[in-house]
Amino acid sequence: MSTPSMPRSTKVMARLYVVAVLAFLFAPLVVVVLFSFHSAPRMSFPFEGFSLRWYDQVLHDQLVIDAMRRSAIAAVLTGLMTAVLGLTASLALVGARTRVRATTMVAAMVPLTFPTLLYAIGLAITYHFFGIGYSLRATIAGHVIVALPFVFLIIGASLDRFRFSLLEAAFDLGASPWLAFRKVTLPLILPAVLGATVLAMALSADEFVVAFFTAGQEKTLPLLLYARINQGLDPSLNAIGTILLVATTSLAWVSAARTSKENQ
Amino acid sequence: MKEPQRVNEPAMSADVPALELVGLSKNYGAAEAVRGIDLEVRAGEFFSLLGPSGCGKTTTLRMMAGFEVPTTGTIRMHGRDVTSMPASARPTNLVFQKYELFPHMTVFDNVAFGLRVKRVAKSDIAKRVGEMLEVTGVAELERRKAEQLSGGQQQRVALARALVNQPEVLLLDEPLSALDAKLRTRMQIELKEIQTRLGTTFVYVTHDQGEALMMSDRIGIMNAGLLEQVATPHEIYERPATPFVADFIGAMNSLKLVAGAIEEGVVVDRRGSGRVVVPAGVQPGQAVTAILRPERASLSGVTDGTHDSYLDGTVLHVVYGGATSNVMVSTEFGDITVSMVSAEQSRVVVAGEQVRVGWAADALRTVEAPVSSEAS
Repeated sequence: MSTPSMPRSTKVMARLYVVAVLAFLFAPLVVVVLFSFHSAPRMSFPFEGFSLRWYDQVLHDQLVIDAMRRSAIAAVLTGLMTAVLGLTASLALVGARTRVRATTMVAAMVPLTFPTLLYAIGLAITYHFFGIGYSLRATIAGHVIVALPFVFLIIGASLDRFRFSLLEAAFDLGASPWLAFRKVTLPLILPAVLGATVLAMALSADEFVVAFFTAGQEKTLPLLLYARINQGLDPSLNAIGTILLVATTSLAWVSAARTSKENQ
Repeated sequence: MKEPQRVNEPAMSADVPALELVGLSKNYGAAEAVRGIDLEVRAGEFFSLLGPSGCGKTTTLRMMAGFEVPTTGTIRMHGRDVTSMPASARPTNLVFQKYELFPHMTVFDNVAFGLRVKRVAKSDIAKRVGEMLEVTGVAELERRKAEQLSGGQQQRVALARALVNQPEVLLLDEPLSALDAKLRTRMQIELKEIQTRLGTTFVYVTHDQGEALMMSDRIGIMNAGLLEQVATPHEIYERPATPFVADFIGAMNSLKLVAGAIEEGVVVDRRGSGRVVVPAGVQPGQAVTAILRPERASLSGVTDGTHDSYLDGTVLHVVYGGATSNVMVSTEFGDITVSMVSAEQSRVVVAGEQVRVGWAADALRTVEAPVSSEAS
């Protein structure tokens, strides 16, 4: 953004602007991470020294460990289920008529614009009505529905770029439809499928509202965090937050790396 | 035409055509893409399906490959009915117009794909792929990714990928159309050499008449879903069976003649100062449409030629085209284009000049139906 023709003052201003935006974006995260290492049981300055005591405390807290395990299970299962559903739905749409395609794409977009809170309440009422009850499984089902549009759109976009005439080449060389899918279609759209899966996992690991209304006693990590906040703030919350942050950002990073690999 | 025996599988009888189409047609709704084709392609033959875009040649090829189901008709390969056989089971392989190499695979893996599907032993695969890459001249690219290749290289890999499966019939869908002119010419020669060497039956779809004339043992010319003529390149060029073939295969003049008196043993049509010898077999009084190739006509006093037929006219315009130039002359029989080798012209012709167009009587050929009046 700084070209040789720019005056020096403009360059400085531009840099300051970028720094300001980044600071605004990341300051809350920095605060959370920083105080997770605070040796004193306070979340305010002055900063008195580094310590891993909160991590030690959190990782020996059975409630936290259970919540982490549930969140991990939810993330993995949400990822797998949305990948399978998103891939099969996208593939089914390939041969469909334009109108069916357009309608389905709109239908897939609706949940993205619908307030999650209302959706979560609706889901809770539905579970109650059918006597399904509230549990981790109920939450995972909700996460699948929340994440599916993203996965569906990412894989669909990838399939739009896929040259289906390649499959004719595979058939011509003697491949069955299944073999052609495995050897040609899947390898070529795999980066998008993996990227979408990881994104779904990150969405699930981070999700609060649906979990709040459907998890019941099987609290996921964000729910536990919320409960602890109500009991009062201390740096152990920051330690939980930092663990969650590392998990989701690394997932998001892997997702971005996989998706961009396909575009190369 | 006498065909040398180049069948690669000795068990096959030479009498059974490698490919046989019987009453083949294909409709898309009300549109008839292919309207009943009968064709036999001999084993080891280089056969071209030539025609303008939309004539049904690609549809016909795709029916041979198994990508389109014929509405009616039968396809046989070496006597075996393959009409309802899926593409994957047919003894054919197709070289696609856009190559359709698998971009995520190396050249080797692309070429090995068909053999791996058929579970050929690993050592055999390595040997056969290596040999075929050698034949098509891309052995050194074995480890490259398909997406890193130039158009010409992709073309060669696509050819190797198809040929390595030793298809009974190799189908090629305008495989050279994406290459530049120079590379195309080189590939035409190479393709023909490879075909002669391997003795594989080639069915080659193209809209380029030059390409078809140069490479083919026989050509089938298609128009509006029908085969207009199936013959050797020489025959197609010299004796086009229909006005369409005559027009498509090259620039052509058409003359509407009325057979008049018999002079010196030949029937002539005299008009103004012109005298045209009517092709043999036409009775006095009959009207007939005849065609005349521009390069068979000449201008008196400008280029040499035997003229037992001649017409006087006015030069409309001269198109200089490097090695040859075309002169369009307005005559009593309509506009006639004369094509002359530039180097053989004794003088420059200009528009408005009075000239005499002449040709030898055997240059004129009759075709079944009236030729479209365009004498381009």
